[in-house]
Amino acid sequence: MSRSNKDITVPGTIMNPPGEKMQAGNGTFWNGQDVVANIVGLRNQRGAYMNLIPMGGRYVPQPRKNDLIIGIITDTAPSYWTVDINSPYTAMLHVNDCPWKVDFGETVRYLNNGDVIIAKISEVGELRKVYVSLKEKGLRRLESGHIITMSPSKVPRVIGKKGSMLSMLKAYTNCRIFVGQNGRLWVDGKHENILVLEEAVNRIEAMSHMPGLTTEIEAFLKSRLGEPSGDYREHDDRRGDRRDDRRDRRDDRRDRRDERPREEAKPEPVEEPKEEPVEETDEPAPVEEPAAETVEDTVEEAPAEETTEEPVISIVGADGEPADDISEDIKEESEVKEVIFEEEGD
Amino acid sequence: MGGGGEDLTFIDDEGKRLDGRKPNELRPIKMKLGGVPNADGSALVEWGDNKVMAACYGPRELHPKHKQHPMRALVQVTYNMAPFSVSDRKRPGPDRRSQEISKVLSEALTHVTFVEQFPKATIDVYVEILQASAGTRCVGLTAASLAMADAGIPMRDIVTSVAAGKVGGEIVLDLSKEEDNFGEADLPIGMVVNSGEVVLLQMDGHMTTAEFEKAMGLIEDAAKEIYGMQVDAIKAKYSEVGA
Repeated sequence: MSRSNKDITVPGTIMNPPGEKMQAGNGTFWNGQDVVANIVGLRNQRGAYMNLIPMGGRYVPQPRKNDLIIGIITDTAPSYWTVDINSPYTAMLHVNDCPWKVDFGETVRYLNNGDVIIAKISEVGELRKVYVSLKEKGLRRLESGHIITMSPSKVPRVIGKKGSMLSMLKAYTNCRIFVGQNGRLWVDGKHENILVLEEAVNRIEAMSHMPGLTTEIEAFLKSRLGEPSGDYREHDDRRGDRRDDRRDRRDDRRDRRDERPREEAKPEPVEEPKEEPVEETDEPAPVEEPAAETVEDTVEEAPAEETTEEPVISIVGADGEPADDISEDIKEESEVKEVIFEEEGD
Repeated sequence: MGGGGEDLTFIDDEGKRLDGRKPNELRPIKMKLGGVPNADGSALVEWGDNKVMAACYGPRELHPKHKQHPMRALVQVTYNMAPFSVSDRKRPGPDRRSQEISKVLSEALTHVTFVEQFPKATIDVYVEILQASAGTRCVGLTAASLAMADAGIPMRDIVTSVAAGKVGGEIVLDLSKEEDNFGEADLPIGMVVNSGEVVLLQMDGHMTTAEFEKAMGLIEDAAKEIYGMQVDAIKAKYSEVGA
């Protein structure tokens, strides 16, 4: 859909056509007579609701909207960690919300200042007391890779319609990417490719309001990296990549285990337990796609924006893997389940 | 008051002011969003010989914690004049005047901001006067609200600000340096144009009620013009083609 700067709203702009009743949606408010914009944004009408797509602004966790975010541990306490979630409010990660059995006062054995985690917003209180959780598959401590920070309001642009932008970025750069809703991207791959990826993300940010963004970015990626291997639009072709991803990660993990200095005599906490689903993903992909194409990790129900119906994050594939290839993963997963079970018994 | 200004003729026989403007004419104004990449939003406003940069950070965590308000965010403005902004060096650091201006600008901006959306947080706006030539608080407020809009802060409306005053017995708009220093009254106003609300009103000197009404009339008209420039400045940021 083409947009011009005529669609840019300024705080105070009356959004409804004169005399017409509308409902105030995101980025607008009802002043008693009209629906009025309260941010700089793009007009995006949805039925009777007038919504605005924000052009800026910080990430604020919303209640009942369990965003997946990338957090950085900033403090440790006997029974919880403090997590910076790139927001006006810091979050807390309680030991009961992590997949390990952490003894009181032993939090530093598992996560320490500066550690980066993929977490999920589990609760946002009245006074913006935010809790995050690691108790779900895919949520874990990040061990390698690179963090790219961007404006949280542009995150849906990086994901694209049904994850199109994201899968394009992955195909061209051959990187593993995780997009946190709080404006942090975790990427892992070749250094040269990460640099290109970072530049691509910057471009997406700068041109997010322009029509033809995907074409523009694709041209940029092509000029820097050449053609991608295989057609990224067809999920089947990515299965090989996913298998590589999985192998990479298993190797990573093995390396890490060998040089893990942290825990001495302690029973080894399952450091990176949340291997990607071996079974079916819990949220099936959009209807348009055949069921076998289950996209890896559905992240959020997009805010009311038509460009991001199904933001999709993928780290790893799901189905059709040879059993021996993933047996280790399965083992680790079952370990995790045990731990969780124990804790629930408490 | 005294000085060399007493024999100044503020309005000549043709009704023109010292700098050739008509009584209801503004100085030339230029606005641009951006300029401080580290900030969440920023704006540069050049207004006559004034040059003001505003940068907005936040909403972010407020420290010290006892300043946090459990129900709403604080809008904290810091108005600061660069030592080189005036011809006699300005002693750097906050003084009584800049503290007062910081306070009134905070209050003006708090009024239009949805502070309830960010309990316990702060929205910090820094207004740096790079070059001063009368009316810096108006320029500062105009720039500050642009910076806040750029930072994506939810606001009811944009604040527009302009001054009027009395010089040589006449009511004129947007006082210049000489008019400000040697004139009879100065009336800086901050307005919400769409609703007509006044969010900042200060006055230095004396005016009769009739003169005040006339000054407000000039300000209201000028504010509409300035508001248009603010809207254009915001839209201009998103109309540039290419990265």
